[in-house]
Amino acid sequence: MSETKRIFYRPPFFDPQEIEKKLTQMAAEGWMLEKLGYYFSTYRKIEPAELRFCVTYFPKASTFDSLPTFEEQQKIDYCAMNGWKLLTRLDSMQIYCTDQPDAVPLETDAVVQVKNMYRSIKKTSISAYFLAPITLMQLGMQYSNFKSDPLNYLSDYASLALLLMWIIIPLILFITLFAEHRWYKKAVRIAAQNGTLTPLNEKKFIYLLSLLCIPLLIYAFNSVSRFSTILLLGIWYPAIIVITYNIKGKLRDIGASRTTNLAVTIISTVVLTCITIVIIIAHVVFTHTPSHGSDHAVSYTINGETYHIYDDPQPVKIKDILALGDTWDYTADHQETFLLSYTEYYQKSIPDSSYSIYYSIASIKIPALTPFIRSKALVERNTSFQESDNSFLPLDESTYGVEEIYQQYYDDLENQIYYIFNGTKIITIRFSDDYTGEQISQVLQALSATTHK
Amino acid sequence: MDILEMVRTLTNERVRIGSGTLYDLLDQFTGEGLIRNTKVVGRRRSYIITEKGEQMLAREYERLRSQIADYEQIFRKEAQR
Repeated sequence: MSETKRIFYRPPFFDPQEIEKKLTQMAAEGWMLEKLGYYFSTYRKIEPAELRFCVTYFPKASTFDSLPTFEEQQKIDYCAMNGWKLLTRLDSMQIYCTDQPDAVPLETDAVVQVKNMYRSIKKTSISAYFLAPITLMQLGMQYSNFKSDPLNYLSDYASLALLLMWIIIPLILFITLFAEHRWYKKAVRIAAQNGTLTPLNEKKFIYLLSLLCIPLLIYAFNSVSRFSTILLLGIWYPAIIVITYNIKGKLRDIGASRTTNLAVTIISTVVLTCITIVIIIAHVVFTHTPSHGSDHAVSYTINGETYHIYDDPQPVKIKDILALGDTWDYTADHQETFLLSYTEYYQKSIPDSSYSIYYSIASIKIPALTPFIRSKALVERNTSFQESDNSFLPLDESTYGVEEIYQQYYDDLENQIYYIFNGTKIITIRFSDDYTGEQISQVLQALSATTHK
Repeated sequence: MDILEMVRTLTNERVRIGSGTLYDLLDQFTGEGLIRNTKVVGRRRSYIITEKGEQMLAREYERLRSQIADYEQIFRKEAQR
């Protein structure tokens, strides 16, 4: 039978009594703790014994320390004087053991204990204070993306996944910080009144929420590039774990100083992240292909130039309405979520690209959202700083048989950009300069007719 | 004299301070300027109470005295009834 065993155990970091109970039980079964980790603990075979354990905290300790600092050693010595021997350390947590049944407990004042625990908790929360503004900035960026192109944003699951993720992460951070603060107030009050310690329990739903971020992240990355997902989640992320846990641990074991360990860990992480980003960018740049609804292009050579012509289905073809030349390139891109179906169409004549037109057709799937999406589609474009001088002049909707139709103006000059709103449909059209007013009207009527289908 | 021992002796074994609690208290008192370090020999440290610490101690003494006075006044009156 093996003399040591390693078991999966996630210690409730700020519930010392629970950890003490577990270790007492293991000792009674003949297993003495040797090393405690965040997920695994190592035990050594002993004669079953009734031992007492004490979990205490040393807030000034660092995960990068190979040996206890002078101050920490002083505390260890104080405890040894009362018969308590240090078993192991994990970050700011220290675990002591004694076989003396009458040894004075290490913690005899619950208020002091709570205050000391809170100092350790605040240290672990420093990263949350740094992360909180970054996550809020990310959330702001998502809102900005939504504002600049609401129809594209709402019809893209990758964008919605990122939005959800950037809502969840700050939520987790703020709930955690709030819960810690609330725990401290309550624990001090109870400790002063009853002399008992209230543990800080991990919130299970917070843990589950953080796990939810992983599939969201995979989905968002996967929609950009499968290669990026594999590289980030299959290589980069495990490598970061290896660096932060194993290299840090090895450096600790060989006695590297806190500063050296910290520097090596940070530099390795940054270098690895930079290499990964460079590989992803290089992959995107060198393998980028224009996205079209159809992958099948026909190649034509006209006057020595080769053109790839697509024939993606189009609800309205300019060629048919205006009886224009023969060779046309038709492309279409479709994306859809539970909120919105959105297709972008682009048509141009070959080879001179005259009479090019871009239009998008959005169909809102939840009718109750129609007023909101309509207002965002028009007003937000108007107020975004890039298009701050835009204005929208309504046209006669009865001519086109729709609820609303607008032409966009920039600095009081008319643009050949139009917006059609009818029912749950929103159409945006952008004409090239080749069109006459009459031709534009004809195309608008044809596109307006599609909203009735 | 060792603080843990001194507390036990002064209180006739009534008060026993755990080593962890003592370390945290000393750290807290030093941080708040109530005591200061005077000597470090090996890992043993000596402390002395500061003026701020003495003032705080005096205030605490007065607070406890007034509580005792309140107690005596209330319960003496009740006993006299």
